[in-house]
Parts: sequence; C-alpha cells; structure tokens
Amino acid sequence: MIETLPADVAELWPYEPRWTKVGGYHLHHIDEGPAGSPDAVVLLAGNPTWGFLYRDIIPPILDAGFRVLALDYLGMGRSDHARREEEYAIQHHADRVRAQLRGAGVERAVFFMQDWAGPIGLTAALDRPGLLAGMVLANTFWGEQSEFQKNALGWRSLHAPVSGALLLGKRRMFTSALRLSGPRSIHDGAAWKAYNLPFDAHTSPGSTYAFPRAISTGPGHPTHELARRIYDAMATEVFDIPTRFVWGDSDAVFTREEQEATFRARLPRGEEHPTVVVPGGRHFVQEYGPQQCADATIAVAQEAFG
Amino acid sequence: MARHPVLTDENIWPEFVDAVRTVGETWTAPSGRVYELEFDGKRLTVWLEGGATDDSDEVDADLLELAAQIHDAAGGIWSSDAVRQTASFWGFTPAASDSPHS
Repeated sequence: MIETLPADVAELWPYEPRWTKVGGYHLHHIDEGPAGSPDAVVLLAGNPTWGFLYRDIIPPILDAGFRVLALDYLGMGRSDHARREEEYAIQHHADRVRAQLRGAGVERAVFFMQDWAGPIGLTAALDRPGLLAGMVLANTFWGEQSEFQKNALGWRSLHAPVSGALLLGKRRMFTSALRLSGPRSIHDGAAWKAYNLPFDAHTSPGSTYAFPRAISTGPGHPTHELARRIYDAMATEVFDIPTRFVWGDSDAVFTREEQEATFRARLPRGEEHPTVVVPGGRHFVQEYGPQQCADATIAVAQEAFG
Repeated sequence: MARHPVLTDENIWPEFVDAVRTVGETWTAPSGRVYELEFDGKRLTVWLEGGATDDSDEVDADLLELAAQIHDAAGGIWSSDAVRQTASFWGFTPAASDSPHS
C-alpha cells in the first residue's frame, strides 16, 4: 500500500485514502460526497492506470450531489501488489471490487467502466444482482480480444513464454501505453509521476503484467469462459439500466465500430442509449474529455438514482 | 545463500510446454552467458549460471533471445520475428551483439 503521495501528486489528488483488507491485501479507494448514502457513482479504471485517471471527473460529479468512489484494483494504484500472477485473474478482481463496495456500504451503483473495468465491472454486477443501477461504457470491451489485439503480433506474443514476463513484467513496459494512448499533458510532470508511482514504489509491475495476458484469445484461454458469460448476460435484464457510451474516436484498440456496436447490439434497448464521442480521444478517454465523461455519468446517475 | 532468478514466468500455457522443454535445463545465450532453467510444466524460472544477480540490459537482451528460441520451437503463428516486433513495439530494441560475453 502507498500511504503517502509526493506533494506534487497530492496536489492533483487531494482525496483521503481509504483501505479495505481483502484476502490479506490492502486495497485502496476514495469515498467522497454524501457519506453513508447507499447509492454511489463508482469509477473503475483499467490498465495501467488507477483512480488518478478520474481526477478531473470527480469534482463535477460531487458538485452534482452524488457520492463518488474510485477504486484501485490489487496490483494497481495505491493498493498492494499480489504475490502470485494467478491472483490477478479477472474473476478475482471482480470479487475484490464487490468486497470493497460491500465494505463501503454501497447498495446501488453507477459504474464508469473503461478498458479492463468493462469485464471487471460487468462481472461484479452479474455476481451481485441489484448492485448495478446504471453504467457508462467508455473505450472498453467484455474480455474477448478485439480485432486489433487479434491481429497485432505485438499483443499475441505477450501471451507466449518469457516475452510477456520480460517486457511487461521485468521491464514494466506497459506504462508506455500511457504515452501511446494518452495526451501529451500526462507524458511528464506530476501526472506522469502519479501513473508510475505504483510501480516505482513497489518495484514490481503489479497487475499491468497480468492484464494483457488475461485478454481472452478464444476457447481454452483462462478468461474465455468469463468473457462468454458476460457476452451472454449482456442481453439480460441485469443490464436493462440507464446507460451512456463515451468513446474516444481515435482508439486503435477498442473502436466504436467493433466494441460499442457489439454492446449496443447485445444490451436491452441498446440502440436507445446515447453516445458521447470525444473527438481525437484515444484509449484513455478520461484524459481527453473529462467534462464529457462527468456529464455522461451525472446523466446516468440522475436517471438511476432519481 | 538464496539464488535470485533473472526471470520468472508463472503461467506457461499448455500449448507452449513442449517448446519450453526443448530448451533444456541449461541454455547458452548468443552472448556466451549461460543460464539455468527450471520448468515444472507451468512455472519457468531462469537463473544466471551460479545464481548471480544481474539486472542489466545485456541479460534482458539474452532473455529476449531465449523468448525468440521458444517462439520458433512453438511454431505456427509464433516466431522469433514476432518476439522482436513485440519488443520493438514496447520500446525494447537491444543492440544486436555477435561478440561473446567475456
């Protein structure tokens, strides 16, 4: 666990850290706004980011009167790192999210889900019926590899022996994804420090190493059954809830044409859900369009919580 | 004294088991450095001969060669070219070395 932040990072992330002990690990989250409300907006990040990704999105949601939690997964952000890679399996991440929310007394949630938050958040919702009251789906997927990931050797080889462990594990190269898919404003300074802090502090790659290898490549892959379960469940009433899409239109990994279209086709009343497009936004869309992300979240929360 | 591995891969998929086994328990990199491997069918651990600790780029370059060899042994869609493209994509492009480690 990272108990204190450097002063320049704390200036950008002034929230009180809160901790939930799950499976022997300390998991970090923040909890702001109306204390004790059973309804909350829950901000879930992906790889290799943490709650910090939502630093410019949280204030407008608080101003709108909602309780806001931003969670860090095991191996990410200020949370502990696991001792074994298998503890980073997506189902385990989802189980721990549910434990964090249970510990915080959240009974109904609006999830903002980007990148790996899609499979993790959707699984958490399936495993606790009634929890998910609304959702924002942003540059995300459901666990099965995208066309980009299917065709890019650079992705496939990460699953193979030694190369993934070397490049993403030992050399911690997935943080370069922030430079490949995030705006120049985070390429240095306090923001860059904030994103690298978890791995510098723990001197290990945490879950950044396990996430790319957890992308399902089809039958036989450890994540395939879970991805299939999500895909099948998308069409059920669990997900007949207020929904918005937010999509950076310059994301090569998860495109609107592939991912959003699939969600839209599968979800109940999928064609009715509005999309907010962030022009020029790449994968980390929160960094490109924080106000659009906040506005979409507030709209869903107002519909979900009344 | 405890030996410190230069690399551990905890999750070797079944489709790669035979390819990893082709390397054997001792592997000599093109650089001349010698590595010891322990593989239990799922977890692969690699040490520098004698268990020396070395976090240098040169050792990582050797490990990339090891990955390339295993990829070629796996065959199919996997190849040493793919490994090198992957490394380059993620920003790791060790200089080719044809001189043995001394």
